[in-house]
Amino acid sequence: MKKIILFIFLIFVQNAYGKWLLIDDQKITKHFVDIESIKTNGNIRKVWTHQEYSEPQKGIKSSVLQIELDCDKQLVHPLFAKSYRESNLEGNSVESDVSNKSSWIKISKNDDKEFYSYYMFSCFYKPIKSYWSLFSSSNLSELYIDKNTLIRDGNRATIQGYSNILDKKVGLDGVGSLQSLYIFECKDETFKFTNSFSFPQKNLQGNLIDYFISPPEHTIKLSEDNFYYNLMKFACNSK
Amino acid sequence: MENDLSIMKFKKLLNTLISLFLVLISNIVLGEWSLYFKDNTSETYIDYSSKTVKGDKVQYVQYTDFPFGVPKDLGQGMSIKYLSEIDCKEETIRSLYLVNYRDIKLQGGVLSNHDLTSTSPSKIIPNTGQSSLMKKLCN
Repeated sequence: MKKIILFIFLIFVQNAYGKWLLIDDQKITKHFVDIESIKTNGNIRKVWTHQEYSEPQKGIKSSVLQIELDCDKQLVHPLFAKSYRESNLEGNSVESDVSNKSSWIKISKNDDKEFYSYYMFSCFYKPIKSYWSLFSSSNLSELYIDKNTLIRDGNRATIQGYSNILDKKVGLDGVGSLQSLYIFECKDETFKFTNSFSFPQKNLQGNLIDYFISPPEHTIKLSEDNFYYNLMKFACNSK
Repeated sequence: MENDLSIMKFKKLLNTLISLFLVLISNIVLGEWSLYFKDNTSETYIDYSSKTVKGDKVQYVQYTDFPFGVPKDLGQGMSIKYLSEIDCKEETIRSLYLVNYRDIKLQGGVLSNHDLTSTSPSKIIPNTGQSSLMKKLCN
């Protein structure tokens, strides 16, 4: 009978339909999330994640993990895990209800790279709380920022913002708006951006076109005529 | 003691009635079976008209044909019909009752039936057949 019960669930589970979005490609593990699974309750976001391992981890080649994230406190709470012997969530599986075994864990950027990726995506994709205000505009684009997200750390300043693309000359075909975490090195007057979400319409409307978490290797030296120069001045001069 | 016996008898009768109901409902001729899933060894059909809503839960009837025979370790028979339940709020699934048939398309008579109501629900994983079924039945 046990086998029959197991079989019932095997019938449908095994064929993944491929709506997992790749958000981070690390050396051994590719990390995916299911955007449609994101559920918001107050400051908490619940999301399903999926991992693919290029090298088997204790015989496991892929897995799914449902987690809760406290977007205000940067905490994670694993709820449910299932591991598979084969890639693409196929083959024999072992599931575990991890919700009672684990409590809320503080996410550290350096120590919990996978949770950090899930946090950066899930909490900043159409943020729960955002207080966008127009910072600057030109014929090409408009820049909105959320002043509440400004963080100063030594010579570095970071702030969340998005740009509405007003002219095709910008060179981002099909992109109406682009939300990013802007990172300024105040001493060097350089700039780079990360955790970027692109949308087809203005003001972050429409379905996500593309996402990347890894910062570009190059940084941009800001001159006074650069669109982001004034934002750097604002971010770096704030206390 | 007498009460316990009565309750046990009642439960047994109830199970028999539910199994009988499952055997009769969605008859192969009258049922509106839609092919839902197919692979090299099985074909699964769902009768969407059997959907009943109970609070946050949805129950429905489905059956699976094994054109090349039920895998050895799953017992005998060529097709299985079951009453399943999706919890739309908790996003879980479980089967409640199951009936084994001798031939494909629920033909050849019943071989056995099983009460699975004591089994725990299983989480529905996104981007699977189960999750698209949940979307269809829960919306």
